[in-house]
Amino acid sequence: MQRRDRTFFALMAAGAAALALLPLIGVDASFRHFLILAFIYAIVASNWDLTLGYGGILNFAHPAFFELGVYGYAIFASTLEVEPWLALLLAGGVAVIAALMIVLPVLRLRGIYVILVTFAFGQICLQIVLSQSQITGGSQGMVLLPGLQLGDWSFARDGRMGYYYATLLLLVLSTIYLRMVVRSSFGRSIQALRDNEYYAISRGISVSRQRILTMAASAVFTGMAGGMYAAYLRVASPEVFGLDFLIIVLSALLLGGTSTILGPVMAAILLAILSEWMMDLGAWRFLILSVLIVGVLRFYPGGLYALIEGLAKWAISGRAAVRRGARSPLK
Amino acid sequence: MSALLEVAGAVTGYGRTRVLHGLSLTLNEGRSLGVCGPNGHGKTTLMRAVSGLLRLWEGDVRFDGKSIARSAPQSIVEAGLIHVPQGNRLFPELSVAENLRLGAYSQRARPNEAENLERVFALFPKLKTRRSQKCRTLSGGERQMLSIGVGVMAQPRLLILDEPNLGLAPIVKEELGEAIQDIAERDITLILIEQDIEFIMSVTNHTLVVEQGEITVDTSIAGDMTHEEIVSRYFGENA
Amino acid sequence: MSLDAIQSILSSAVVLGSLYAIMAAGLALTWTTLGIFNFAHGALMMIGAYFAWQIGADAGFGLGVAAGMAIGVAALVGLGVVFERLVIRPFLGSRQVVLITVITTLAAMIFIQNSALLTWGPRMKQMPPVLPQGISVMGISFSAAELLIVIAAPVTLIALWLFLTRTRLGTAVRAVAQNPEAAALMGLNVSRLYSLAFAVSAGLAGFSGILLGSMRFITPTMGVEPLIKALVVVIFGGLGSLGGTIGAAYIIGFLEATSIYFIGLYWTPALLFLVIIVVLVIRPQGLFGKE
Repeated sequence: MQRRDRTFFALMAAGAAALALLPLIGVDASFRHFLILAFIYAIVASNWDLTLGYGGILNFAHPAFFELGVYGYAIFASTLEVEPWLALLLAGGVAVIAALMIVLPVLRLRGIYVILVTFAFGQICLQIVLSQSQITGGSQGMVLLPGLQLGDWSFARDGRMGYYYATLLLLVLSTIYLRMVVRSSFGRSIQALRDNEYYAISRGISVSRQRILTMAASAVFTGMAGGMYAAYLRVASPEVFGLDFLIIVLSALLLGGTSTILGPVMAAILLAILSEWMMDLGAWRFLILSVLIVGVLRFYPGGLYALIEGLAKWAISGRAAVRRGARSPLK
Repeated sequence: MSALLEVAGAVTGYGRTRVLHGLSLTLNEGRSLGVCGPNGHGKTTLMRAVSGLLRLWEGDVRFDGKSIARSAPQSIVEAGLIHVPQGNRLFPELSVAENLRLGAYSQRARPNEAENLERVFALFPKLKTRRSQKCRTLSGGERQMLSIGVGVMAQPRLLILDEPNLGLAPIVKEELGEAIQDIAERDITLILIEQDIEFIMSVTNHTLVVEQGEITVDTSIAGDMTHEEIVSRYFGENA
Repeated sequence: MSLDAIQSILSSAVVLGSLYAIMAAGLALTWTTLGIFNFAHGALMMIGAYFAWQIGADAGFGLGVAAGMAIGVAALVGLGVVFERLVIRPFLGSRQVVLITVITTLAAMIFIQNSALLTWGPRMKQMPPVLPQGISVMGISFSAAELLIVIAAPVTLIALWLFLTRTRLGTAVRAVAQNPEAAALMGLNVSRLYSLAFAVSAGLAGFSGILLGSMRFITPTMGVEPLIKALVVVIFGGLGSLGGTIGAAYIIGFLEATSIYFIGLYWTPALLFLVIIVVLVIRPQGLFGKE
């Protein structure tokens, strides 16, 4: 293992261990609830990093993969009465199929058109969910979905302890998966495409094939996170298609720092906690969050990860690295 | 005669790379100056710094006695210093007439717009016949004529032309050359950046050679090289 | 197909097309000049409607609809300048300006929506009617609000076109879009022209929002759906030219009206998106777009 891998996995293991021990030192159930949601946001944001950050694909259909995972789980587990654990896996499959569908019209597009079409894709999904009310429950959504259980033990018991560890495990698996994808030869080839498309093509990398694979790879855990979300809350409602969700996840990705994986994970957890902590503020919460997003992009575009990296280096070798983080453009 | 343009100890570059290393020059009103030298040695960088596109790291630029080193390009244009950049693409989707009209955008140029337009059309009769065509449909030579025309429209006191002949066919060069000569013979002070030393000699009063971000030859200084010596030294005996 | 059906489709096609044309023209203006896509355009529409209501309606300052419209549009022009300065300008030099401004304009959308919610509350507001009753043109009846839209759209768009092509300032706005550096070297104040483009765009957003608000109800989220529609229009027409965008607006309005009539309200958006995707697969730059 190389040194960079060691740092990455050490950071991840430390974070995961801290989060795993957290319930044991007595955190109340509502805080645990925030953290469960935060883990799910973290999975969605860090997988989005694969297309938006590493792949350089301006894909705004990513939240839709999550939403289709939510409905995929609901339909499999509730309507078709599939075993919930299997439905969770199938939710990932649904998202992959959606990714393959949206990537085809996007292959020939560039720049802003990719954003517009993928953004529109999420809206089509919402419209279809709303209009097919006999299957999806329309604007009412689907309720009383089966939850997860092992044997007779429901994951919701003991203050949602099962879900806490299940989502944390999913997050850890997703993070390891992302790191492996990014460090593989495939991962290097998509970064080469992002950095210098013409050079990469001249070296025999196929743009279309890599774009298709990147989109599919980013959908797997995103769809499963959607399934987990549905299993945990036991509802699938069209509200998850809202722009609020997109903005929270996207801010996590950008505030955390693109092309870092751990950055979006940390930022998602922080944002979810911050956002829940400010719940009583009502509309003010969104005013504060939106100002925060623009402010961080303006004054610290390197993101949270660059800040932490900078601080770590600062501890070792002076203040220059921190200042560099403030200047470094988004990758 | 007073100095119209003075560059004193100019240091600048891109990112962390220094391109100009303390370059100085003086140009008097009504004179014309040729600048030549190898590519990538700072000719264009110098002009970008003069016209405000690039900030100086050290040194000063004075135009008509006032420092313009901290001025925005817009106020430099307003003072009458006009830079026609190399390979200017102008505004491809605007017509020839619209491009020329924007040339006279500054307050100082507006009163003389009609007069200058006639002058441009006299210099380049082709532009008159193409006036309602979009700029992107012009040939390379025509586009260069338009670039110079746009510069003339701005009512310049000092006109900087950066390699107007770049990549053009000899016959077009000749046509442009005549026009540039015509401009130089009027009241406009001219800086001409050019690779073709003979062309520079036929148009300008004196010549600078810029190498490695410094002026290595100035023909206006007694004892320095003459045009002919530059030709033989830098461009071979037969140039 | 009955004559009634044709009349009904045509009248709603013209109303929708006109509304979309003003909205999308504003979006296309900022795209062509600054190269950014403003996701807060719908929110600017909404806030324009609220301003007009606040000033014009009896429950507000009660100064009348005309004053509401005029001051509403003027306020949006000012807001456009502030918006550009805070949300767009700091990021213009960045390599990833397109992506970053998607985020910042989305954040601005959230900000404006929630500000409206805090100021005016979640309850719907209704604009007082412009004219007491509707009018019938060639057997097709329009409500006063609809009539206003149908007339105001071409007038506004022709005025915009004249501004952009016939005035020195308008030509400068187009020039800056094509080559900012050459524009600076000709003495054009690039950043002031950017402000101007944004001010005009926000003014158009406010105007279309006021028109929409006089046709429907005013709520903090009323801008979301029109934004999506404007998105469809600009994808369909391509973002390159104003003419293409306006043409696309009327075509989409017609498609939507026809589709609502025959296959209903629910499936219409999905059908529109399907059309868009087909168009893009065949012509990635949009129907009228250039490379």
